Amino acid sequence: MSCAERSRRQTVSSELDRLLREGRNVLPEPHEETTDRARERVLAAVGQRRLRRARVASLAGVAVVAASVVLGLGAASTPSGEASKGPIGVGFLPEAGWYSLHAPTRAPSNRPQVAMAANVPFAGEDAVHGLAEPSALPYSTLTALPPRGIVIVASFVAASAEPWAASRHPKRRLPLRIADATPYIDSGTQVRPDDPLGQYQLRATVNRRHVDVQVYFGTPRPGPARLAAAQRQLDRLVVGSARTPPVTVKVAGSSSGAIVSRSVVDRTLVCPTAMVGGLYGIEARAHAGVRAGAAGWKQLPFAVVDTGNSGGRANTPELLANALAWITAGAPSSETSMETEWRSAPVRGSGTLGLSVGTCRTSKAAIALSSADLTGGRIGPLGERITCEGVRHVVVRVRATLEGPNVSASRGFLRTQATVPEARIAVRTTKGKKLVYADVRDSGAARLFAASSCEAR
Amino acid sequence: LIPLVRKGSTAAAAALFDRYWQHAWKAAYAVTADRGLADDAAQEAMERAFGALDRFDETRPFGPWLKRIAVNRAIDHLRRQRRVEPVAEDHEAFHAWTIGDTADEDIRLWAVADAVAALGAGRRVVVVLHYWLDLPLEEIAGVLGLPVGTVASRLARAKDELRGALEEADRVL
Repeated sequence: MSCAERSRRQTVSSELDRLLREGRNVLPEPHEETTDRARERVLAAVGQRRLRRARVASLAGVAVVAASVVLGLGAASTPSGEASKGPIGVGFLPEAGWYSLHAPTRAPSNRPQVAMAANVPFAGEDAVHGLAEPSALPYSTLTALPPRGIVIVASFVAASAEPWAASRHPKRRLPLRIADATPYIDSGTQVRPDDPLGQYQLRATVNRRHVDVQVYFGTPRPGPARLAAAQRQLDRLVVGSARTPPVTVKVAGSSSGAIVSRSVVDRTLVCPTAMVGGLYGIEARAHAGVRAGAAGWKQLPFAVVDTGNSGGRANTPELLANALAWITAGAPSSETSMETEWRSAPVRGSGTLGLSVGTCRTSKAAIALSSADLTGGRIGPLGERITCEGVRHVVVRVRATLEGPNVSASRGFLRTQATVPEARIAVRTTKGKKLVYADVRDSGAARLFAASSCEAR
Repeated sequence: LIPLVRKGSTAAAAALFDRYWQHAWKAAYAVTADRGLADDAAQEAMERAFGALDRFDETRPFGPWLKRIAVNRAIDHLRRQRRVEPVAEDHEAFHAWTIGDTADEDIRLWAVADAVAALGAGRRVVVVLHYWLDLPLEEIAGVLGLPVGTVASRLARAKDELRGALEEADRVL
């Protein structure tokens, strides 16, 4: 190559470098509708984030409310004057000029229901999704509520389904009185911090149902006329009597009278997390059990800690593909699953308990099986999902009582098909910071707790 | 703004969004060369960034952090779509149709942008991350999960391909 040719190539190369660097200046801009859509979603998330985080501390009531709707009830929007006492037994008969939104059919008695009324039309997406929203609040309607606007949200749970909540629900008679309400919502944050709403809460036991009423006003200090208007609608709250829930029948295992050998599995692992969207972290999910009649389970109480990554190990149901560990409790049948129906794993085959020895390694690290210093509580059948980001490795401990065979290695996991009366799982960072604690029992109960740095999804 | 957003101020969130949205979107578009993928990746990046503000170190600049998230989301989308081959939508050029003070220079830059868009995805992403998003080779290797040597050779081959394409075009090189 001649000197002239070499010189020409160097010139071309430096010019190419310059043009490549300058090329970024001619990139197009996003379309306006894309920008508007993204802004709307981000701002809505900011508005709801604080509220949802607070919900971690009150998982019990909230998650259970949503469950009743998503698990087959759907929502019905009725304009003023068209609601009826109907078959559901609970709900609002709308005042003139009011709108109501409620589950249209009777829910199973062990599942709660929710009803809403407003003196403004419900936003379209609330009419479709309002009752299915995890917090069961009509956010779009609330965030756009005008000063004269009033929204009343009521949830109903059979008192026998949550005896632990009886002390918070004093016996009252209809009509409920707004004068008995507190001017704040326990464990709830301001829905609209920039332009605060008036938020009132009233709890009662009526006709063997625990009733939670939340009243939202478009102004932080509603005057007598607004309070009277809300009272008139509250006067039209219908609370039918709760049926006696089905008797809980313990199935299989020890209930059969057979002698069943019990053993305890207690394993601790150190596991790498995965980068998702630029951040390393873990995801914890859990849900309560759902019975299928008196003899078995449709869905076992369940908790899992995984990496939340989209990839996963082959030959593993998607739900558990990225699991670091999972626990269940109760005796499964061939029909019993974990997680929701749209994303479920059969318990038989997957295992009632699993530990990812393919991803993690055994550890002697100490980790307490305790919810101390964490927030959370009992959760419903629809479950909760929590993410904890910013950790590259975690220590995971699982302790469970087994009725039947102990764990054995299979496809990268230690698993068991044994019935589990109770199981617990705890997660901390390698430096000792507690992240997650969950436990499940064969009564169907599940609890989930997380550090304040984690976020409910 | 960030402390206000953490407290739940939607006005502050809107200001922060408006300040950085275009940067995030352009980063995503540069990587994907596809408006649809860029829309999704940039939106997810903004949601993730805002969702993780509580853990964001305020002593560090927000823009590069967001850009990194946008790039990662864009690469995730690109992998998911299995888009091995380019890229530029039929009805739309990779560059914006705006002419600056020096039209000749703009036309050259359009040609460069289009030549970059015509590269295979593997080479295009390396070029874009290095020249447009200012990532050093080591960091690109980390983002793509490739050895540094592979990144360097991809970049060299991409430049050879670009040089050939642009030398054929009038008045570019």
